[in-house]
Amino acid sequence: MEETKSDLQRVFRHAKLVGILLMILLAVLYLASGCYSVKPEQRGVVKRFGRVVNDNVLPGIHYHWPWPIESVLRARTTEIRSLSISFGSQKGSEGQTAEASGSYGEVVVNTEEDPEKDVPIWAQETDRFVPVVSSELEEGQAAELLTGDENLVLATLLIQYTIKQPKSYLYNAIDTGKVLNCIVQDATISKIAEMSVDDVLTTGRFEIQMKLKEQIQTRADSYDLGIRFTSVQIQNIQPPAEAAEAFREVASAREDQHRLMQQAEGDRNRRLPEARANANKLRNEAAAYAKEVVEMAHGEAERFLMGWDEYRKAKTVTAHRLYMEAMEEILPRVRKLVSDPEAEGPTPFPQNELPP
Amino acid sequence: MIKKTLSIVGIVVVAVYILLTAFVAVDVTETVVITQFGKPVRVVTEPGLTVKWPDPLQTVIRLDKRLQPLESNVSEFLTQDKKNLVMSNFILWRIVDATRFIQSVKGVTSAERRLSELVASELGMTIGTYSLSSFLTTDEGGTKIPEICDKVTKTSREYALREFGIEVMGVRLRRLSFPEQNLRSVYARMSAERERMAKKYRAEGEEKAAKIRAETDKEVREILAVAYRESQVTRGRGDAESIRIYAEAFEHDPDFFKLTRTLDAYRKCLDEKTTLILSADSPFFQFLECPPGGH
Repeated sequence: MEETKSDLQRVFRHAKLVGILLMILLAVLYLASGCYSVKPEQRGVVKRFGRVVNDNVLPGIHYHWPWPIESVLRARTTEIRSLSISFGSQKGSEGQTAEASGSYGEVVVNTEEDPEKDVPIWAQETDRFVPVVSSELEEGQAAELLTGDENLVLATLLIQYTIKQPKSYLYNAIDTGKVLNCIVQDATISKIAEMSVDDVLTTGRFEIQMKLKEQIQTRADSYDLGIRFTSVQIQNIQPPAEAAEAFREVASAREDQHRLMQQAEGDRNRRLPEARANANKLRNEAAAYAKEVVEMAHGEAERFLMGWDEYRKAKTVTAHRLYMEAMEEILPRVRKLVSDPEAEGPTPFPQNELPP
Repeated sequence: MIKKTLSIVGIVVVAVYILLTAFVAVDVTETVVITQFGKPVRVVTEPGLTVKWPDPLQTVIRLDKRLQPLESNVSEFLTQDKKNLVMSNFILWRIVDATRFIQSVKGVTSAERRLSELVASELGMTIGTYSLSSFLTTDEGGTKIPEICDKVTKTSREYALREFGIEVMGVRLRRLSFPEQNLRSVYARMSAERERMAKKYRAEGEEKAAKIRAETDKEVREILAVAYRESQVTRGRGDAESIRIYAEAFEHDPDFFKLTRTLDAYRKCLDEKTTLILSADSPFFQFLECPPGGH
């Protein structure tokens, strides 16, 4: 009986020791659950009983009081997020457009690769207000846009942004993605509504992007969303399918206009040098002619004067000689009829020797 | 011994219960309303830890005070100039007066419904005072859409704040279009406009090309005419010069000139086809019948 009691006492003492050890272990584990890490691309926000006590925890290993006293949320601040919004169905079907205009693209959360989830179980967020934070492209669908001159256009915008203020981003709106969507849609509708369809489709693209970025940044700041827009891009902007043919026709007409003018211009560039060449030829020919006649005149004059010099010395003889020489040259090749001036009647012509 | 243990356990359970229900953690995203037997007695908007009487004396109602977007349904509105516009909008709102919110609209769903109705009627009234060209314009002043939205925001904000404890942060357009049944005619008008433009471009192209060609013609003819004039002048100058040279030389002895020039002309003009009738008493035959010295 005595032995049994002491045995029991021994066992009980051991159990007590084990119990105390277990308690200490549990307490240590509980306290250790306050360790958490913030990755280089993240910033942490620590809440104590729901109140934000530190809204910019830098990357590294940190400690917070364990649940339920403190909790931490991390946001990837360096990452550039994308939001794509399509205005109007790109296929251009009316029914689809009407249906699609009411819905939003789902916010895709890839649970496997989401770095937020890639932390040890003891460091995971347990807050019930976990906002959807995603690196995936968010997509929104909206209705087609009306331009200032009452034309419809379809467009796709790609908006990129980063988190400027983690606390504001995480806690100021229930669905930040949807609020962004709202801001962008309103700004786009307003901007397009004061531009002509030609400007929208051609030269206005840059202006739209610039103005939109300015406008949505102002709006986002006024709602304190903690977001900074890095770029607004019009990825695609086009007329609806029902009128696309006519728009293409205008483009081809513009090309035709250009082509016609180019042809005329080309023609001009060919004909003007040709005309100048002809003009030059005319001038040169005239100059050559003038030179020719003057030189000829000089030559002949010189020749005449030289002959005359000699002629002067013996006028009668030379004149007679010149006359005779000429006769000698001419008479052998012509047909000759010699008539007697004293004979009566016409000189008889040898009929068969007349020229035809 | 057992009694003592039981009472300790009892005290601990009660203490834990009081601790859990008397301390309330208010999140940064929420407003907490503390009610006493269902009647709101205190509103906590500051996040952090707060104390109340334990349940069931006082209970908490947690309300999300963050900004939330609400999409309205698509509906048709009539502008001042009786044009139909299809519109839908976003309402960005948040709860600011939690007590009023709980008392007037109870839950978020009914709040959203009443907010939609309120904004829709305000929107309808405001749009009725603007013409279509206030929405769609290419004029300098720009569109009045932001102005209209701000107006609706302002009036519905006042009402919602007073009645529902809700602050309307903004009424923003989500869709602005023409009614479905009008779209076909809009597309037709767009196509017609484009066709007119295409025709204009082509006609302009032809006009400009014709103008270029006409100008080219003119310039070509000008160039040739000027060249012709200049060449004629050059030729004339040459002719004049040669005439002067001839005259100067021949002036020395007109008789000799006549002789040589005439003989040259004979040489050129009288050829094989010429039949010359010579008179027997021409000077050429002077010695033919009467040799010199024989008379």
